[in-house]
Amino acid sequence: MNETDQKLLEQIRSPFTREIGFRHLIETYQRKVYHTIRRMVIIHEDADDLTQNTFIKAFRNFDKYEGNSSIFTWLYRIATNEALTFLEKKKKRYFFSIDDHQDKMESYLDQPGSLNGDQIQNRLQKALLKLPDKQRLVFHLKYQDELTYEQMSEITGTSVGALKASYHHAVKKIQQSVLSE
Amino acid sequence: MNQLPKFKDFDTPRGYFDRLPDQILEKKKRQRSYSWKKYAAAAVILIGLGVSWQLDRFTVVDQPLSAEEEANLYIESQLWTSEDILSLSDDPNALLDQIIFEELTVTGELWTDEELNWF
Repeated sequence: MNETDQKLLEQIRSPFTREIGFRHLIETYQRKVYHTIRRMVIIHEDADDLTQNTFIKAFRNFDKYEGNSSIFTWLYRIATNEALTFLEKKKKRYFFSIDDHQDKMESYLDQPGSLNGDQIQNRLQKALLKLPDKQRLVFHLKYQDELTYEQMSEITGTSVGALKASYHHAVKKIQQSVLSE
Repeated sequence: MNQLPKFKDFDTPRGYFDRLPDQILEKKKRQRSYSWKKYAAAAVILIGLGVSWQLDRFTVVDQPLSAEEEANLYIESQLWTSEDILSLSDDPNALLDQIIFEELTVTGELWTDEELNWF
């Protein structure tokens, strides 16, 4: 555990500094948590809501945090779980037309100011949206965040072998998708 | 994949991360204050359901009563007095006359002249 986490942990565990500890926790990790979620759900309003829920769940369950992993790995796990559950619910809601929320996310990428990048970024994001949610998550964890498979395994609760296979498939599909356009 | 660039972060509204900690802490407070009310409401509903279930177990199913039976029930249980019944009528005097007439007629039929003279 790094020094920042150690300090945060001490603040949160003391009843006198608990509130200020929570504030510091948010300030330290809000950007990482938000962007992890945003990459999955694309739409800012959804990402905002899920980021808030992630921290609230973390506060409520902080007693269960044993300190075996870094605080961010723990927050990562809650955040990815929130994002996947959200997307799953959206699919169930649009049971009769599964593509509805997919379309919404794709068209959101075309809005001006949504994506801080050029045309290739937009194409990549759209190619990624075609992947199953869990595969998309694995891709982001490995390619974007450069986590090790062991860290990814800790976050997702999936075996290293399955994660390697999932990432391999994701990369192949994205390459095909980008090259075909 | 090596030729492809890393994804850039999505844009956020200006000042979003400055406001976010306050929003989260405020939401946390709101949820905490609602949580005990939620449990209290759930407890009241559960107790209510339990009580009504217990009552239902010992309650005989009500048979619908005719208006006359219902009125009699109210009178017998002394919820209504005869004055209350009379006050419900448009013409209490006519009703009283009718009652007296019916009672006298019945009395006349029940006792013969001999029986009436018995004492």
